[in-house]
Amino acid sequence: MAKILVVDDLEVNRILLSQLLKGDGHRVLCVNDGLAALDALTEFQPDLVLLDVIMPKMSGYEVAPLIKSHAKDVYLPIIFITALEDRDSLKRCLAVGGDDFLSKPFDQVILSAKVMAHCRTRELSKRVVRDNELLTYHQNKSEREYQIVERIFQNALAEAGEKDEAVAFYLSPAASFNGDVLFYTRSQTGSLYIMLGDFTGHGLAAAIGTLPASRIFYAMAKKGLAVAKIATELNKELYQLLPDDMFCAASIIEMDASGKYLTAWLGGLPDAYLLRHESNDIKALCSEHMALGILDNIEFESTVLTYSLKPKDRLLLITDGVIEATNRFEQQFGEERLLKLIQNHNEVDDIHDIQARIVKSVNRFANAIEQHDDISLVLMESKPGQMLATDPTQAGALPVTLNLKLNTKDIRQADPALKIIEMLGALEPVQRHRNNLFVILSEAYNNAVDHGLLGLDSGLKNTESGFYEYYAVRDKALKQLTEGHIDIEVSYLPERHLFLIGVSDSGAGFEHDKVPTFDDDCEYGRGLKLVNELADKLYFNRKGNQICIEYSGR
Amino acid sequence: MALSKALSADGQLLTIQISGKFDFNLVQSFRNAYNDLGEGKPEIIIDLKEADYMDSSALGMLLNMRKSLGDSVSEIRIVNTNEQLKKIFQISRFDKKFTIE
Repeated sequence: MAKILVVDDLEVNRILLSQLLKGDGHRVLCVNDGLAALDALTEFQPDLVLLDVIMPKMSGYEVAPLIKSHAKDVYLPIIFITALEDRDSLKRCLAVGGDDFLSKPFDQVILSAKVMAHCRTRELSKRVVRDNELLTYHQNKSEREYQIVERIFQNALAEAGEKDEAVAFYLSPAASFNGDVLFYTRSQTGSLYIMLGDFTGHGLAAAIGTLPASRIFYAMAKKGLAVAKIATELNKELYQLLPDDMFCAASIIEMDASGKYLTAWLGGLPDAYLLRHESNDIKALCSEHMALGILDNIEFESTVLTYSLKPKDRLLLITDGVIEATNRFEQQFGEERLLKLIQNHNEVDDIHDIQARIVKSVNRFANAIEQHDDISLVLMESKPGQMLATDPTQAGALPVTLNLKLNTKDIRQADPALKIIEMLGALEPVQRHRNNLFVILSEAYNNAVDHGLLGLDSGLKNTESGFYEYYAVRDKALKQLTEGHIDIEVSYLPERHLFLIGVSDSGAGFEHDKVPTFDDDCEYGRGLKLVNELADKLYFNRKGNQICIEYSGR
Repeated sequence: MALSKALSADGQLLTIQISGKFDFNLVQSFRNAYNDLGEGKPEIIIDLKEADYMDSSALGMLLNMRKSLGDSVSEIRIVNTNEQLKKIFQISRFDKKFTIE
């Protein structure tokens, strides 16, 4: 059933048409001129208009285009009521927007058929408009969401912004995110970490994995953790997070601070190339693992490749966009063209020039069909890095004293030096001096155990086999220990920036005329020598079963 | 506290990585790590990137390694030493006996 507007100045036509249409079950509104027809549009919302040509006030020719423009995008059929013989006026009817004709005298069957056909088309048109609206809505929504994600994405990657003179790279702009990511940073000790990754897919879906990946990479790389560990952690996270058909092919690289050693975990990207400066050789480093996010923790392999580097040795990492760039003859750029480009790499002084050369060449190759934005590559050059300075920080404010009394059972099991450091770990100066404090505590304690309680002879350590024998004897003696105790006291006096460390044992004591120094050519007693060098003061009690150490770290 | 080792693909580089505490608890595993080197005269890297603590027993183990390997290695390098560990190497004059980076 449709709503039909009949526009005719002849009452007889209006009545006749109205009856015929109502007979088909339609709702009908009749008006007698063009102006009245326009007025009725908004209120009645017709699905079809039957329009007479010659009318007072406004003719059919004049009103037809106005009706059409009122209908906007939805198809509102106009059927002109006309006499057959007039060909010119028929033509004009179509020109002003008419869709069909109904000739007088009216034929019921033809009228019904035409109305039905045009209403069907209108229904289709309505559906298209509805679908379009829905589509536009979703498009706007996804665009807005994309903008948000892109913002987050850029913020997450902003950390990589620091320039590093050992790195040159090209990465497609984030606006057309293609799944390629590059992270790089220096650790506290100056090692350079690089990760080039290629997530499956494009756009939003591909971008999702980059957030946790960048977070993990930067946190772990800044701490200077091993490449294998970083790869394992990234894989664990992506395996958990990404759906089965999504993963991240990646190369994770570390060059140590001296620029002499390279560690690489290669999973799923095209071959990396090690460019040797001295020999001008190119060595392809083949990916030996599956991409990140595919294997569970148990199956995942974190083995890395290690290489020694000489000055100006370079490493080139690429994603598949480089070698798979296609020209209009459906040819791919390929490894051969790439290798040719870098064959005289040691004549190029600046890695940025090699990078620019590759990008230019790939673009020129593929440009014939479309602008390629899928190229991602990074070049790294062996150069020693600099240690990052640690912040000078303030000393803790409260004095602290820690007392430990270890009985034989504790001594057999415990390894107290590290535990004490951990207990005092909240003190900032402990953090800064933790290895020195560890050495002092460990040496003082082991001295008390080895010589005070177990009565071992360090002279054993003078030969290679004796060294191991010493620890075997120690182990055995420790297991048989039945009496004795060791007291440890550690105090921190913030106003003097001083640690006081006292270790005493229940043993008989020993000769302590002289604390050895490193200038003596003796292979043992190294521990006390170390403590003596680190500490401000070191002294024993008369009996020789108690050692006191003052340490300020200055 | 852990130790891991990796021999490079060309057999020229043995990397021994130590994490956590480098002390006498590692005596046996450290010795095992360089026991069968073959004839290739490889270079040995002691990677201390993840080593947080080290005491005189570690120094003893390093010296022993050098003594026992002698000419069967081309070089022994100690790499990725943080500043606190570097200081221990310095005051024990180890920087004269090993390459420390």
